[in-house]
Amino acid sequence: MARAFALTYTYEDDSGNTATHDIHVPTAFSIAQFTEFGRAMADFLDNIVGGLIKSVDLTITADISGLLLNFVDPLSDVEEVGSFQFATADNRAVLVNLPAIDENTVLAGSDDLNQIDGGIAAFITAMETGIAVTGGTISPCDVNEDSIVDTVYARESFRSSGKRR
Amino acid sequence: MPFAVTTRYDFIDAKGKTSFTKIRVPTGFSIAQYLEFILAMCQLIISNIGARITSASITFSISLAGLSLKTVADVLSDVAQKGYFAFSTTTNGFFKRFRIPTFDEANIEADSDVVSEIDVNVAAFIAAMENGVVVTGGTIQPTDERLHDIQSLSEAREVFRRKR
Repeated sequence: MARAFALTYTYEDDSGNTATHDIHVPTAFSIAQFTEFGRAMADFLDNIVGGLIKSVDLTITADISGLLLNFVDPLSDVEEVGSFQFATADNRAVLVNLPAIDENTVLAGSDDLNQIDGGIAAFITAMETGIAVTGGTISPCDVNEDSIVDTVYARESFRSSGKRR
Repeated sequence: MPFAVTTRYDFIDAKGKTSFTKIRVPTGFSIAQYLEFILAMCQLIISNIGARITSASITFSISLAGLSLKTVADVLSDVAQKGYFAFSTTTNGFFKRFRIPTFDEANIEADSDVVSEIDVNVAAFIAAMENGVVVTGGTIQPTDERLHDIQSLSEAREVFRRKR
């Protein structure tokens, strides 16, 4: 079923502790309209709280029911990670980790991922050159919107679960 | 300064352990275009992993620049002190409940834990939740998680919870 979009308000008190709450909104509006709403609601909320409103984030959850081959392999483990380091046009590093990487993509006698493997190559191409969408191409970037243009390394690594990937 | 938009992908493996990863993309596209990107990226990721994708989402940071919000937290404000609000929706049995951290004690009725609904600022907030907020080209009416429109306030009181 369709799910509402969520606006998450983050507060900070005078001890520096933070907490959040969500306000849900319908789906049929634009980013500009949600921005208007989020800012107006921040004004209302600021008048009834003692803490600072630190941030407002709009989160939209995609309907993934139509994904193909979205299954769990019996031996999959999110602690086995495909670690990718990309470089942006300004040579800034962007790290992306794919949990439960398929071991078949690791080169024998190495911890390097096989960058000419079909799936890995397609992923790297998408990260470096973007994905075509209706009316344009969306290219992954760093937090400052500097586009990814190159791959520095792609290798297998291991991380304990429960931590940020 | 604009901040990139964050796409997030959540995973579960054969042991039930979960994880996630994030990929940032530039601002300037529509929601429909971002959703196209997310689904295409999901498919690319699936071909390289053994886990199942359980959720994919996109998060936009809304700029608060230019608003006249507080710049310093009130002395003794505490995120553990919350204003609990429960709203009924247009569908019987579905409520939208949330707790607003650092709720101002001045908005609580004396000798009570009830939020004063006649306080002008509280009343304005409740009206916005019940009637929506006018934006360019329409009105955005808050809902519950399942898209049932919020109808009216059911309960509002002060509560205390852990610091999160």
